[in-house]
Amino acid sequence: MKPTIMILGSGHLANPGMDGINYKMDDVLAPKRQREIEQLVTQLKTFQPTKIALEQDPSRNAEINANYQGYLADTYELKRGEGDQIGFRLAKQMGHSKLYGVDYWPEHDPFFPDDFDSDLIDPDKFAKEHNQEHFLPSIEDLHVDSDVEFHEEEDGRVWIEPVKYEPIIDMYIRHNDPEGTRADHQVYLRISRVGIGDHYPGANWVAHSWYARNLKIFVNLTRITESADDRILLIIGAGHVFLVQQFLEDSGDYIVESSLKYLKTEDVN
Amino acid sequence: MKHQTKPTLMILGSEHLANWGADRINYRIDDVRAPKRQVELQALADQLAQFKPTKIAVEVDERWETKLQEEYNGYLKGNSQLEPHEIHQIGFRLAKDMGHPQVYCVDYFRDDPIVREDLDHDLIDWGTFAEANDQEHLLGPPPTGKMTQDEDGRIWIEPEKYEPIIDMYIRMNQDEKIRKNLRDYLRIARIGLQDQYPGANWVAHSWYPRNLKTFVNLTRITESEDERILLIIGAGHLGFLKQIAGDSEFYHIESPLDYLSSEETQ
Repeated sequence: MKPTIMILGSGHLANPGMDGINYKMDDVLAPKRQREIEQLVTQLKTFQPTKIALEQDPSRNAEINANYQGYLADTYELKRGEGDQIGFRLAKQMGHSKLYGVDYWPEHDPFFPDDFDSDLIDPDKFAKEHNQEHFLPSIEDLHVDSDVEFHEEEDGRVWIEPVKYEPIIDMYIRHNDPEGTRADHQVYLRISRVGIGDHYPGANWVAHSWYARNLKIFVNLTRITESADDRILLIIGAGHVFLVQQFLEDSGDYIVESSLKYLKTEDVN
Repeated sequence: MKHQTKPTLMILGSEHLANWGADRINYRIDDVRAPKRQVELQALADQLAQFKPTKIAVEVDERWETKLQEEYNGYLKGNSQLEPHEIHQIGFRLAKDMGHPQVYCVDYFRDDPIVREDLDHDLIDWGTFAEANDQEHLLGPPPTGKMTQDEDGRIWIEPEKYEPIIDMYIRMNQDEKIRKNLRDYLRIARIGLQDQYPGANWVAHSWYPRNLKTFVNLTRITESEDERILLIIGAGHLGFLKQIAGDSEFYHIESPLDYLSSEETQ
């Protein structure tokens, strides 16, 4: 008997704009979106999670759980992020006493030198200076349909705005499509090729930053696993799904379920 | 043969035939320069030649390419004997048989400029951490077989019976071996407690980057879709490297098991 884990790949519902290319989400606090999220939570509940893990560094667990206790006591209003909107709601319905941050996002990484030369780990800059932009992520990698518009901000961040209304559940079905998550991972392996001769800015960034973070997310999941009866739901940015799931599967220590098994398009009105 | 629109890669996992003792646990092999072993190695090269490699890549840091090339040139001219390691015994032998002018170095084995020079060794010393914190189970089961330890503390597993070279390579390149190899590293990655991650640090900042850069180096020597690259590398790299190369979908991957078959070598 092995413990079970299911990963729900997510967009960032509160539009934090942390990535180079970001999906613009309309306000999830709007009544129709709230009904859709309630439906999503009802569907995910059939997984019967024993623990819910979030994309937060464990150092923030006290703060997260203070908010969660406030939510249980009706003194905290859910914010727009997927941790609050999906994680807190589902944890409450399951009667959980707390949630678990499993990200690795420390303030200081002890590996990197103090006088760290950021060019060593900057594939974007290197590719633009050395005619290797074909290795960088492009709009084509996003496998979006044609019903979107692109807006670039002055700081270079790109926002993808849907033209057509997409219900939340459909959005999650799209984010968790295995072909899509596999294609996302392929983009990282393509970025790793940025470099020439002694220079490996792409591989450095992919290995020392992206891969290291995902491996520690896997490790943190193993650390919150207490028994074979555990059924852990991880809610995390869709870009992480492929690697974290690959670690869980390759470890041989978990049964990994697909969230697509629980998600079904519904009519909402 | 069906048309390939991608270059082809085949990875041959190997033991270190020269008994370098570079690892914590090492497998001993008798002298491969002995006549019977030489016959077996030629038979192995003949079978691998059926793959029709266009380039042969070996586990040598790319900085040593000039030196390796000099060695290869010496061998081509008949001025030097092959050393007992797999780079010469399999790589050079096969490259010569295939008429290649060059053998390619694709390893990344040097101090990584990303990692601070004065790195606190405890940050990656998963072996010591596991022993000090009751996590020996994450080190995996101890090796089985007849073992000896040399004065440097290295463990040697002594062969119990004579195994022909081709059989050895068939054994090392089995899918189940490769899956176990991945499992072993992911178990080591778990060594640590709270904000300490010596296992994951070592895997993510040492072992994985080396393998990822080996993949990158392979892509850098790949010049066309017609390329058929054979990489000869320590079997411990098979898990990560095969997964990276496969997931990238940059290559069509072939298995050496499709070319190797036991034969009588008497």
